Amino acid sequence: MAAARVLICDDEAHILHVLSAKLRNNGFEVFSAADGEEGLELARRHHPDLIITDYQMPFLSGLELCARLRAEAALSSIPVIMLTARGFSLEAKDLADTNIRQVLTKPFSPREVLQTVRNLIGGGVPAAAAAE
Amino acid sequence: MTPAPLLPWSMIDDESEGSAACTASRRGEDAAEAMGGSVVRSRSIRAPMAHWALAPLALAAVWVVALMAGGDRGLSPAAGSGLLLLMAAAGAMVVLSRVYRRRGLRAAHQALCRGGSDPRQVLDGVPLADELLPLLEAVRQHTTSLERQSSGLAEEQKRLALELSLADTRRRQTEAVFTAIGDPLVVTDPFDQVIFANASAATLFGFDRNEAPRKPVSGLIGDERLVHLIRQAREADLRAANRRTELEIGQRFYAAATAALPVGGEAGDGDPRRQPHGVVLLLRDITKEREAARHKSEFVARAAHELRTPLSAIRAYVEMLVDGEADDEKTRREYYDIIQSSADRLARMIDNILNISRIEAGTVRINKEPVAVAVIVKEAVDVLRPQAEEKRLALEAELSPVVYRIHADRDLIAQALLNLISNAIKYTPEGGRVEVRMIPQEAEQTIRIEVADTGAGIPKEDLPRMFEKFYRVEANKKLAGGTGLGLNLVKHIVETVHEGKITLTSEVGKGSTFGMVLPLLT
Repeated sequence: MAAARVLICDDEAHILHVLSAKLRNNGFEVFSAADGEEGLELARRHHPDLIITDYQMPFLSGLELCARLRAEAALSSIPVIMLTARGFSLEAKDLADTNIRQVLTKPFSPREVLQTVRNLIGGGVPAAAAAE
Repeated sequence: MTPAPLLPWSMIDDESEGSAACTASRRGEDAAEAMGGSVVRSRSIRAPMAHWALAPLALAAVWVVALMAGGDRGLSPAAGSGLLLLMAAAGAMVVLSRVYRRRGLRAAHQALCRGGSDPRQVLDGVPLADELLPLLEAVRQHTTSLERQSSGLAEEQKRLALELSLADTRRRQTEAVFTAIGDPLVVTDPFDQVIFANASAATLFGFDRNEAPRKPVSGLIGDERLVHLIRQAREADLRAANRRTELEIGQRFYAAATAALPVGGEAGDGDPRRQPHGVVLLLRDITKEREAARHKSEFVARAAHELRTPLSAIRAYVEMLVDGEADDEKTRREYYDIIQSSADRLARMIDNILNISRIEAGTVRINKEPVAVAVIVKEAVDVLRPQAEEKRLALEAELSPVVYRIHADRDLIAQALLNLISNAIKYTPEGGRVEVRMIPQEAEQTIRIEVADTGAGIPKEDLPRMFEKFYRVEANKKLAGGTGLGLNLVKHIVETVHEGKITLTSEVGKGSTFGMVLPLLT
């Protein structure tokens, strides 16, 4: 079975690095983008099963990205995990009408993110198992 | 006692013959002594001359009786004219006495009306009947006591005038002190009427301070909150009248303080704490303090946020290692390096934040001494040479052979130089060049130390913000990590501690030149 595809958008290099490594090691195929526009491009190209995006990014913010995704039929049903800085909470109205299924506050733990991804789309196979 | 002036009666006394005058005068003195007159020795009360008329009348009477006894029927012409003469003499005496008495009285009256003369002395020479002597003595004593009272009152008046002038001086001094207080000050009485307002208060609330006294304070100060504050302070006990509150007036923040103004008098129930009192209201402008506090807390919030970034990286990578997500040595090495550099970055950030805080608070220990510029430049360049070589950058220092000295804290200036040079190295791609130059400006008695690189350059819109805390150029963020505080620290060191100036020119794609202009030690 094809590995589930996850798109990660974040302007912080470390976050991209860590999450990519974590998810790849656990059987997911990962695409990464450093800003919202690049993310949108990759989404169109690869049709990920899940998108993880930061709230604050240059060029296209997390919320704006979500709006754009909803506007395109092929992308409108992709579930989204939103990463926000501590102490920053999203209003209910921001979440309504979007595909945001989970909000995680930074600093997050890579374990937590992996678990959330698994809860939402299941799948993912540990690298060791996939090798068999 | 002034000597008694010449009086009509004394003249008449001297001219008169006979013992009648002496008898009369002695009679007057006796009368005075009989009264127990104190100091006053009356020597001038004389028997009215009218009495003298008795003498010739008595003679005439005796003569008539003698004539009648002598049996003479008729009156010889000689006897008749003699009697007539005696009568005339008697009449003359009476008339003269009246004349002289009148004149004396008139003179005394005039003297008294003119004022300025001692009534006792005036009355001394006045011809008065014996029966008036007690009255005269009473008047004399009354006058004496009045004189004593009057001189006592004059003393009292002098003393009060002195006290009044002292009090007036004190009041003017106090007003001068109040006026000199820059903060708005209003003083009200127990009826909420203004007693005093200084110029600052008049300016703030827009009233004429010369028109202010005795006007109700609510009419002059439009702000309900302050009027309410004053009323509360007035109604409270003496001690409870001390209140403090903070409020915004116009665009500025004030700390308002009230205190009781004692005005004397007693409360209805006699309780000294419940004395009626006025109110002193003082407003202190705390806008700057508020702003400084706000800046500080903004800085702290921002600093905490920035510190979390490397910290969360450390935590994430540690977790990855713990969960065995780093299978191979290469990955593990990579993770260790990231953790290490994040920890370093965190440490540098904390140092920078502390240094900047200390400089801003003025608590940093500054040791200024004569420092040779060429020496510290060479030292900084030597420290960073390895970093430059790693990136194959040419790092050159143009040291002047002439010795230029500045009066500076060696460590702080070295830190500033290190920050500038390490920034240049960080943001200059491989193969580039970093130059440190010393440019003396003898005319202005300053020296400019420049750090020029051939690096990425800074976009025009970022230039004004380069020295802000935590500001990082977006476009260059990928090139290198940074705390965003290095340049802010340089600015503080150069401008705040050494009274110098920071300069910056830059062109995107060409490079940047940072300069520190410092006063030369003469």
